[in-house]
Amino acid sequence: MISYKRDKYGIGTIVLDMANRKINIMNHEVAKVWTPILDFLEESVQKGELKGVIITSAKPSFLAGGDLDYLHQTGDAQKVFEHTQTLRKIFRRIETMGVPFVAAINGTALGSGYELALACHYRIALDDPKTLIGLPEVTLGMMPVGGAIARLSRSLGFKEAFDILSKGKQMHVKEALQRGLIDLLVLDKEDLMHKAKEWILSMPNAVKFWDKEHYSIPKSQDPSHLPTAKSIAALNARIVRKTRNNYPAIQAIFNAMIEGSYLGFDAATRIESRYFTSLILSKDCLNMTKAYWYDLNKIKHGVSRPKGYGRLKARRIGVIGAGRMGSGIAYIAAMHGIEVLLKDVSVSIAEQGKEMVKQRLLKIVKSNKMTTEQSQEILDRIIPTEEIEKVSDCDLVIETVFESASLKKRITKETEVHMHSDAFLATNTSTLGISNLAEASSQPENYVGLHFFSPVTKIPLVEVVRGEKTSDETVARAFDFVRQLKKTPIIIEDSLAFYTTRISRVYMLEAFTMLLEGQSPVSIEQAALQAGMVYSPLVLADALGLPNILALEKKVVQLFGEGYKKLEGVALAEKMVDELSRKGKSQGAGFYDYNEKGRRVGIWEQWQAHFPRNPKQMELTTIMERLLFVQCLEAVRCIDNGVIKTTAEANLGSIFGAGFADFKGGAIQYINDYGLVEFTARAKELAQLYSFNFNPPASLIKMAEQQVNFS
Amino acid sequence: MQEAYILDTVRTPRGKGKITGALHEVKPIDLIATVLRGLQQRHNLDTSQVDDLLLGCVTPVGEQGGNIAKAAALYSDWHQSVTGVQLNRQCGSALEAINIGAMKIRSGWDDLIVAGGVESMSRVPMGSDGGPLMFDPAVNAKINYIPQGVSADLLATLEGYSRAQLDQYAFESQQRAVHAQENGYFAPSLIPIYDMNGLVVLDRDKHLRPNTSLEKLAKLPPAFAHQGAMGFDTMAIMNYPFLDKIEHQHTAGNSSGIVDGAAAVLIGSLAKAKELGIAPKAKIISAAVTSAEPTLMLTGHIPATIKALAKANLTVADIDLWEVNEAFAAAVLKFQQHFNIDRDQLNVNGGAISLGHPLGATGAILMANLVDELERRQLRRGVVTMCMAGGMGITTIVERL
Repeated sequence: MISYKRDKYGIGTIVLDMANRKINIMNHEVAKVWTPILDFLEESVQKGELKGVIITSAKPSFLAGGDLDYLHQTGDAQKVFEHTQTLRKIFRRIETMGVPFVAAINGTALGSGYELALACHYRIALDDPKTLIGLPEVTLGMMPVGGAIARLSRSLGFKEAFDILSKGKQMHVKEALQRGLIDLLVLDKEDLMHKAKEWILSMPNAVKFWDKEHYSIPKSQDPSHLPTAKSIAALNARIVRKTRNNYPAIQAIFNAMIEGSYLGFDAATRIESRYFTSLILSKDCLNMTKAYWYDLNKIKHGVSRPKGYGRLKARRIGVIGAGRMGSGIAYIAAMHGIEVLLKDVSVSIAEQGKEMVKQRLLKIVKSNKMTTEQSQEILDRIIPTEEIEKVSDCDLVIETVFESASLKKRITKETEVHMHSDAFLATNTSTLGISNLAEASSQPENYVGLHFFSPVTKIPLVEVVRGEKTSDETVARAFDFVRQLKKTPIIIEDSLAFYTTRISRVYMLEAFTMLLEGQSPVSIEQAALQAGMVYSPLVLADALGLPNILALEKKVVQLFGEGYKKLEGVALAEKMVDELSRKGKSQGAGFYDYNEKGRRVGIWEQWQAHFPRNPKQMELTTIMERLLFVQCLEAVRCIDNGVIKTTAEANLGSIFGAGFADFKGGAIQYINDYGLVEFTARAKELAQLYSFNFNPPASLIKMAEQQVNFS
Repeated sequence: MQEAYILDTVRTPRGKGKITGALHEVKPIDLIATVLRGLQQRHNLDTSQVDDLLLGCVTPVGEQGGNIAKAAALYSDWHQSVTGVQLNRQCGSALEAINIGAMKIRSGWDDLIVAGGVESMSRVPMGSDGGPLMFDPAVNAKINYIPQGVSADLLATLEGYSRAQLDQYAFESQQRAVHAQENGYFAPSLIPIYDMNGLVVLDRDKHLRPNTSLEKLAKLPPAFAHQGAMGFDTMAIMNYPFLDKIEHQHTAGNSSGIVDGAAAVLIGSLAKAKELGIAPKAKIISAAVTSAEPTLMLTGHIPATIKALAKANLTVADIDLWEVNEAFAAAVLKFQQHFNIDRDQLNVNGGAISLGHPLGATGAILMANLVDELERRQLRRGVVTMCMAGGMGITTIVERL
C-alpha cells in the first residue's frame, strides 16, 4: 500500500500506491498504514539516519480526499471525531518530526490528499494541466479536517485562506503556485524527485514558523488587535450576506479560523475537528454530498445514458449562430480541445463571435492563469465561416439560432444535407418541442435537443432532450459530448418546456399568486433568498420578461388541452402586461423599477396602489415553503410523467437549472429531507389553504404510506 | 422587605489554565453558556422571568470583553428581555455579583437574578486588561503596590508562618478536594462541558493532584522570589520597615491554581420561587465589602467578615462552615487564626489551592460548594469570604433553609 526506501544520502521516499484502487485515498484505515511508518521514521531520526523524506505517488494522481461513504455511514460523533484526530495526528507527526518532508505532487491532490502535502515542509508539483490542487470539502458542505485551516490562515492570512477554503476551488497548478498552495513547479518526474532531494539537503532543520520557539501570532491575525477585530466583524457580515446562514460549512470554516487564531496549533486544529464532526452529522452536509457527490457521480457514470454504444469523442463540431450562446459554446468546446466551425450568415458576424472568445481568453491570460501561447492555441481551434458546406467533417453540429420554430426548421434542412451520415444535429432551445422541430429533418433519429443555459460558461447543466424519433445512439452521443465539455447532462423526454423551465414556471407563478393575495413583494423576495433560491422569483420574472412567461403559458394551455388548470398567478402576469404595461427588465419596468443604466432600484414604487397590501401577512417560513413545495411537487410530476428518469437528474437539474437550494440537495432530496410523510401532509395542508397545485401526486402519497424515500 | 434566596447553584468543572489545559479550547462564552443553559434546563426556567444577569469577570477584554454577560444571555438562547452586566471586583467578582443580586431582590426592585462569573485564564491571561495599580508607574510607586504573590510572602513573613505550615495547609486542601471529588460532593452543582457534538470535553475538576505529598510540596521552588528581588521586596519593606527581609515561601503548590471555569447562582424572592416552583436552598442574610492595607493586600476578608457578622447580628460561633478563598495559604491561615476557626469547619472540601481559582467565577463556585455542603451535612449557616486586589475583602453569609 505504501512503500518506503532510503537512499545513500539518508533521504527516504514514501510512495503511495493503494492496492485495488485507481486512486489513493485517506480513509479511516489510514492510521493502520501510517502509524508503523511514522514510528519507524521517528526511530530513524533519533538514530540520525534520516535527513528528510519525500512523499509521492505511484498512481497518476497524488492523493485524493477522504472516504465519504465511511464518514456518512458512521453517523456517530465519537467515531467521526476520533477519525479526525487520527488524521490530524498523522499530519502533525510529519510536520514536527524534525526533518524536512517534501510532497512531490505528481498529479491531482485534493482534500485530505492536499492536506498531506500541506503538512509537509515543501510542495513541488509537476506542471501538468490535468493536475488539480485544492480543498473542495466546502462544496460538499464540509471542511478540511487535518489542520488546513490553521495552516493556511497562519501562512496566507485570514482573507486569502478563507477565500481558498470557502470556495473550495480546484485549481490548476499555476494558480496553486501563484496563491501559495504549492512552492515550486517542475516539468518532468525526474526533476520532481531531483528538486525534492535538493531542497531536503539544503534545509536540514525544517520547522514551520508557527512551531518555532518564540512564535507569536502577527497583529493581522490577532483578533484582540483592534483593526484585525474590525476586519473580522466586517468579513463575517459579508459571509452572512452571501450565505444567509444557509451554509454552515462556510461559517464553520470562518469560526474555526478565528477561534483557532487565539490558540496554540494543536488546540486550534482540535476546534477544526469539532466543527468538522458537527458538519458531517448535519443534514445540510448530507444533502450537498448527495447532490454534488452521489447524484453527480451517478450522472457522470451514465445512469441515464442509453447502454451499448461506444463513447463519442468529438474532434470537430459545428456551431451555427455566433451570438452570445453560440460563441459561448464555441469557447467551452475549444477550451476542451475540440475544433469548432463557427458559422453565421457572414464571416464578419462569425468573426465577432470569435472576438468574444478572444476577449474572454485575454482576461484569463491577464490573471496569469494561462499563457499567451495556450490561449492562442485555444483560439486557433475556432474557425469562423459563412459556408455551411464546411460542416461535412464535423462530428456534430449545434444550432443556436433565435427561438423560432420555422427558422430552426429551415436551418435544419440547410445543414443536414452537408453533414456526414454518422454526425448528429443538435438544437439549442429552451422551450420549442424537439419532436416538432424534428419534422423538418430527414434523419430525425440523428436530431436531438441540447439546452445550454445562460451564461453558458458558468452554468454546468445541459438538458439533452430526446424527441419522439431521436435514437438511443444519438442520445448517448449527445450525452458524451456534454461530458466532453465537463458539463452535467440530464436526459429529458421531449415535453413542454422540458424539465427546468417547468420548475421555474411554477416557482414564479406561486410568487405571483401570493402577490394577488396581497402579500408583500419584498417579503416574497426575501423569503426566496433565505430559502436558498439563487434567484428570487420577481427578479427572475423581470429578467425573463413577463410576455415570455405568458407566451410559455399559452403553450402549456395547448399542450394540456382540457387537462389545463389555470394557476391563479397567471392573472397577475396578464394584468402586469396588459393593464399596467410592466413587462420586465428589458422594458425598464417590471416588478422592479430600473434606472437609466438598467439597474434595479427597488420594487415598483406604485405597487401598493395597484395591489393593496393584505393586513394579514404570512409568516416568512410559510412563504418559503410555498415557493419550494411547488417546485418539489412539479419535479415529482416530471418523474411521474417520465419527463425525467432519475432523482439524481431531477435534483441536479433543479439546482443547476432552476437555482434550487443546493444545501437541500435539490427539489427531490428536499422531500426526503423534510420527510415523506411530513411533506405530503404539509402539501395537503397548503393545497387546502392556497392552491390545488399543492395537491401531492398519488405516487408521493403512496411512497409516504409505504414510508420509502426517493433513492 | 422581601428576602433574597439562593434557588440553585451551577458551575463548570475547572480545567488547568494553560494551553495544554482541558478547557483551553473552550471559549469563555461557551464556559458561561454551559452554565446558563444548564441552569435553564434544570428548572425548565422561563428566562423571561430573569430580571438581570450579573457576571463577574476580572479580565474583561478580547473574548471576555464587551459585556460578556449580555452576550452570554443572547448566545445561550435566553429571552431577549434579560439584561446583562459584567462587573469587576477582582477576585471577589462573582461573590460581588451574588451580593448585588441579593440587594436587588431585597430592595424589592427585582425578583429573579442570575449572578455568577466566568474566567478563561488560559485564553485571556491575568493582567491582559492592564490597569493603573500595577501598570501605571506613578500610581504603582505612590501606593507601593506589589504583586500578590509577594504580598502573600509578606503576610507569611509578618505572621511567622513557616514553609512547612503553608505546605501542610496545601496538602490538606488537596486531600480534602480529592476526597470530595471521589465521593461526589461536587456533583449537585457540576455541569460537564460538552462540545457542539455532545462529546464530553471535561466533566470533573482537573487541577487537583491526588498523588502529591508533603515531600513533593516541599521540593517546589518559591514562586515569587524573583519578583521580590526585582524590587518589590523593597517596596514591601518600605511599608513594613521593621522587617529585615521577606521570606519567600509561597510556591505553585501552596498558592491558588490558575484555571478556566464559570459558575452561576439563581437568586430570587420567595414569591418568585413559589411561582416558578423551585424550592429555595438558602437565604442570603448579609453581605459586606471593605478594604485593608493595600501592600499587604490579602487581609481584607477579615474586616469584611467582621462587618457582615455585625450586620447579621451573629458571632463566629454561629457559623457552621467557612469557605475562605485559598488565594494563598497564608491568607487562609491568617483568617483562621484571627477568628480562631476550627479547621474542620474551614474549607472542608479543599479550595483554590487544590481546585483552582478562575478569578471572575470563584465567588460563585465557593457559594455552590458552601450551599451543597450545608445541605449534605444538614448544617445551618455558612460564610463565603475572599481577599482581593487592592486590599479589598468581601463576605457573604447564608443560612440553609
